Formats: sequence, structure tokens, C-alpha cells
Amino acid sequence: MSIVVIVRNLWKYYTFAGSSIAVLKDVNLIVRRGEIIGIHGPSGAGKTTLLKILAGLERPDSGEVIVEGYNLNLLDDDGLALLRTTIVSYIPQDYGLIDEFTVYENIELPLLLIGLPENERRTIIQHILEYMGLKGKERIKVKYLSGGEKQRVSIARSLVITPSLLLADEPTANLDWDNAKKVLELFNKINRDFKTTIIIVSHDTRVLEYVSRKFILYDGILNEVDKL
Amino acid sequence: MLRDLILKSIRYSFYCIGTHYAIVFSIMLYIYLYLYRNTIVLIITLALSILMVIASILADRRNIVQFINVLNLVGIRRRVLLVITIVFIYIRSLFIIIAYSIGALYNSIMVFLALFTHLTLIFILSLIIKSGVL
Repeated sequence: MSIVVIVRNLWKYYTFAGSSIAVLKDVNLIVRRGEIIGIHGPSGAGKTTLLKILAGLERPDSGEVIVEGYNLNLLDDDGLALLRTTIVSYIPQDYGLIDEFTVYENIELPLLLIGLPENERRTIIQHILEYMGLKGKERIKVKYLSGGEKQRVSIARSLVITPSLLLADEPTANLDWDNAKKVLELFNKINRDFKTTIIIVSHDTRVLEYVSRKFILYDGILNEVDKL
Repeated sequence: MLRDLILKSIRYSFYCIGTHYAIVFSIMLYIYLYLYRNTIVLIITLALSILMVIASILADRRNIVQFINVLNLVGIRRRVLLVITIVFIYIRSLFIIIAYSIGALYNSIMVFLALFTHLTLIFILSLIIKSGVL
């Protein structure tokens, strides 16, 4: 299996009140194509920071991050933006949707950035809406949807570009366990159908039952569960 | 692509409460300029309208942050983001500029001064917002 993500000796610091605190400490990670990785850790362990670095939304202070052969340290801001429109999709904890836009408009955004013509956009979106079970809801404003539906819209938007790497930040945090299970099963379905590599971070240990490799991130240090 | 994004930005700006405040302010401004036509009133209203633009942006702070974050998330390029932000902010100033244009037609210099001041302000505010300070 080919390698999608390589993280080598990654360090990230944040400055609070003049003092520097290491959020990620010498993190090393290799993710192969088609894997579903689960990273568990308490709040403040550095899970979101790690995902944001992998998505090119933040830069590491030292270390190397290679995604699909692209060394993120060597890419400028526009290069990282291009990476997010073609290779990597990031699903934030708060869904990252525009409340006043409809489901269709939210899903359409990445396709607008790629510059696809309207008829192609419509075809792709209809296909994704059907796949995600959102058919018939395309004209509803996102602010009127439930948490589970918002999560599905967010996943749908991340899928329209058929990314090779999908990053999900606490995808079940705002959902009850029934809806959370559906979302996790959906990730497994996406993984099977699109061969998408998925990294899920969560503070909920139940999420780890749905992944192929488990990691624990505690106090900025990442360890694989089976190797502990 | 840019055209579609600009249209979305304009539409989104109209949804926001700050734009509604700016529209109401523009109507009041027009009435004021129509009733009290002199240079001092124009200068004072110009200062007030600058405050109005800033206040309307602050009123929509959450929406603006959400809009920029989402666009950033889906991979918008920085230059395009700046254009979108300028359009978003410009819409609320547009009504104030229209009020000046029709309310103070007798003094064309003031209209241009108002237009220039607003455009400069919009550009500065857009840069600040884009860089994530506001």
C-alpha cells in the first residue's frame, strides 16, 4: 500500500502570556492509502492542531509533513490552498458551514474554487446528495438542519472534490450516540467506496471501534495503541 | 469562478444585520443631507458614516469570521479572499455612498471626498479582516 501521509519529528508551539508551550512534541506518523486512523486524546492534547497542520491550515514550528508526496513546508499559502481543493479535505468540529447558505450552496463552494462549469457542478452535487441521503434537502438553509444533518452536509462538501485524505475533527462531539454511529459507519462506507484515507480525531473512545489503526495523543505525544 | 463567488458574497452581505443597519442609516443620512445642506453637516455626517461602516462590520463580526473561515477551509487563494472580503464590506458602504451622491449633489467635491474616504476605509478594513485581526 502506498503512503499518503508522512509526519516526521513534528513540533508545534503556542505562546501563552509570553511563555512558549509545546502542543505537539516530536510527533511521527505514517498513514497508508485506504486506512482509517483514529486518534484519541483529551481536550487540549493537540489533536486539532495536528489535523490543521495536516490540512495546511497551520504550519509546524519544526519537522516535516508530507501529504501525497507534497512537502507542506515547501508550499506557500496558495499552494496549501490548492492542496485543500484537490487532495485534502478537513471537516471541523463546528461543521464549517455557512448558516445562511442552502445545503446545495455549501456543498458547491469547493467546486466553485476549482472552476467547474455549472452543469458539471450540478451533476456532482446531485450524486453526492443522493449518496449522503440528503436528496430533497438541497434548498434548505443549513441553519434549519439538525446536528446530524449538518455533519452529513459537511462530509458531503468534503467529498465533492474526491479527496485522497479526509480529516475529521471530533465528528461525533455534537451528536447523540445513535447519530454518531451513523456518521462513523458513513466514514467506513466512504473509505470502502472511494478508497479515501481517513483520519478521525476524537476524545470519545467509542470512535476507536470504527477505525483500522488506533493512536493516543496525550500531552502532545502520539503513540500507537497496539505498540504501547 | 470569481463572478460566482462575488455574487455569493454580495448575497451573504445582504443577509447580515450590519448591512440592514447601514441601509437604515443611509436613509436617515439622505433625509439629513436633504434638509441641512451645508459643508459642516457634510463633514460631520462623513465622520458618522465611517463609524457606521465600522459598527456594521462589528455587528456582523461572527458572520464575517464564519464566511472567511469556511472559504479558507475549502481552499480559497489569498488574493481571491481579499477581493471577496472587499466586496462583502463594500456593499454596506454602497448605500451610504448613494445617499451622499443624491443627498449632496450640490457639492460634487464632497461626494468625491466621501467616495474616496469610504473606498480607502473599506480597503483598510478588508485587509484587517482578512488578516484575522478583527
